[in-house]
Amino acid sequence: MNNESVDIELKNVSVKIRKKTILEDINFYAHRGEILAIIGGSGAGKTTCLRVLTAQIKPTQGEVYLAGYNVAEEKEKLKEILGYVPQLEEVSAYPEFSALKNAYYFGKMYNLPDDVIRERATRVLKILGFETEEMMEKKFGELSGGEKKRVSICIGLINNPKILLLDEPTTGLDAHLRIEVLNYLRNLNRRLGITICIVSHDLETAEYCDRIVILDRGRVVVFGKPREFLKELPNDGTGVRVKFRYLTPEGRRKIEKIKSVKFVLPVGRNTLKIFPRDGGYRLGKLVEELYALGLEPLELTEVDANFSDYFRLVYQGAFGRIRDIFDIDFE
Amino acid sequence: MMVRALSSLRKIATPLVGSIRRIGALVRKELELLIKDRVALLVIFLLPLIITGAMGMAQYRVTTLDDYYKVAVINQDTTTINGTSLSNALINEMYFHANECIIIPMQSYDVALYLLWQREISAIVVIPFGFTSQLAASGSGLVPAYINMTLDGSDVEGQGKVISGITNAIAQLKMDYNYTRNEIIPETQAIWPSNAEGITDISITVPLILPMLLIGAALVLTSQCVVGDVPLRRMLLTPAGKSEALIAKTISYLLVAMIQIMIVLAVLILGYQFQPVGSLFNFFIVLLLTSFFGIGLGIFISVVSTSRLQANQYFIFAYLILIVILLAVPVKAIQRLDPLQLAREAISGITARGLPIVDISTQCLYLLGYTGFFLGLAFVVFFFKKGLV
Repeated sequence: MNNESVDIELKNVSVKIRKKTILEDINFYAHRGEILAIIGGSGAGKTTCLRVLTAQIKPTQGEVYLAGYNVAEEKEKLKEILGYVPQLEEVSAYPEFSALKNAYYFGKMYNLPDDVIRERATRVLKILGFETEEMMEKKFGELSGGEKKRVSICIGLINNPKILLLDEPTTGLDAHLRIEVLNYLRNLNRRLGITICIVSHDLETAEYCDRIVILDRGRVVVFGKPREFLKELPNDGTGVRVKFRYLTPEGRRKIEKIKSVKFVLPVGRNTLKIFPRDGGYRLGKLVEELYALGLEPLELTEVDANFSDYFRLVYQGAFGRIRDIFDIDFE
Repeated sequence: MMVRALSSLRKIATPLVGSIRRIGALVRKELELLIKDRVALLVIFLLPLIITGAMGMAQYRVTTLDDYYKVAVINQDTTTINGTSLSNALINEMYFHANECIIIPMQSYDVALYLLWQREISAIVVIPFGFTSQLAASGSGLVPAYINMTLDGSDVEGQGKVISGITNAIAQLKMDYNYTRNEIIPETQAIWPSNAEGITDISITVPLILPMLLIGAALVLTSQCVVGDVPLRRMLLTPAGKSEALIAKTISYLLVAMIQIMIVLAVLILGYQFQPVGSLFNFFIVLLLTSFFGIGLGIFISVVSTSRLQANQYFIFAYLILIVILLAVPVKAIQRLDPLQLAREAISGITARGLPIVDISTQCLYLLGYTGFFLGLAFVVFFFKKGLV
């Protein structure tokens, strides 16, 4: 057993497949009850990381601990301590069966008694927003994308695992459903105290996590707590979202040159997020300076930076490839 | 006027040309997809080769001992004419002119009948006492000479071959001894099925159609059972093992097959008054073994296929091969290894002859062997198949 309060831990993990290094000296961890996101673009090493965590691949070097168990040595334990939620809808559950029936059959694979399965499934489904019995009895194939994802999460939790592992839980969902699913996960995490590990390419996921790991080309480029990262920004990440009637590149450059302005992020065709320098932030003064430059703001809103903003601001310079990695439309 | 006509013609032609171009591109795409699909290539090229090859093989027919029909001949005639026994002469003609028949002289009709029941021989020919004298006299308008032929009623093909061979020998005898105006009448009776009306259609079609129906139905049900069961991949991340999943599938489909067989039996017995000569339980067991073979093959197909479409293609391919071997391959030795033929023989053994299960154990063991082979292979392939994560 490893450190008891740490539920997920990768120590100096490297994976080489046919002489090609897929993961190189990976180190990260998550404490019990935390939500950890492993984020990365295509080819970053997310899938390999997932396979290492589920003991499908043995690392060439390093050790992996889940709930204190060494994954390589106690592979069979994984089925007890780990709940898995796949990315694809068709793999998740039987479309002909209801949420409860699916939970029943998956629960039976763990030899759980009928009443325990029903009680557990009903409890989790209620937390996940399935308020009525009727919804729980609806066929999986007839549910919406978001509902299907939630049923899939319920199935992943049917054996009461210590860690829930989700593969791209927001992929293929509309923006509002992505937020809905992530909120439900947060809720589950709080109510059940379960450790959650999300593997995703979506930076938005970071907002809902206690800890994040960002992978690029098989290496960890960021590891830590998103809230602490945001504190590194001037004014603790507080900025102004300004909408203009018309904004030229020249206008944007003028704004960047304003003394009290630290960063400028475009968030739409005629909209900018402006982050003033520490201590130099006064909304009235900023408006005056904009008017002085001949730029007439249509709308001004005070906003907090999110993790995507942070990532763009801080790492755009240090890691020039960020645009390629995350497919973010900066303009 | 001319310009206007050209303009309207162009208006019609432009979308038409566009449509033709799109169809052309779609055809190219389809062909390219087909070329990249190995299973489709197998169906396109190998299947016609096998079918036409099998049909063509008839002219280069390979005759093995299995292709000959054994005929027991019992000579009860002791009469002669001018010191010559025409019954012996007929037997000699049979040796040389009864094509595709092996003539086996025997003494006891009972022993011959037992051998016929056991399928060791295909027919019994009895040359009765007085054959020579009657044949010699029949030219003058007296009673013609007779021979008695007892045929296996469950073997339609064998009946034809034996009658043709014996008729040929009779014709040769009449020519050789200048008895062309004299009559030899082969009196035939087909036994098994031994009901009063003789051979009924259903007693012939049951052993022929039932194996095709049961194996086909089992293949339809099982050939997608693993590849189509997508959430099973997730279920295998639980403590459920791959072998457990395959065993469960086999048991489930065996139960389904039992219900299917009971429905078939109910229709046959209640609807058509079909009564097997042998035990109904043995009949059920043989049908279950037949279905079990289909299940084994189907599960194997389902495990090796990477998509539902591919499973369908494999299913059609495998089923056609079984039918082609049964109906078109002219080599009996190969035909007899076909599960459809094995099932057919086992079923007719019980329904038409009332053979006990011991006497059809070879066919049953072969069927079980094939099933075990395909299921074993399915387990091995499934074991090495990549999991979900």
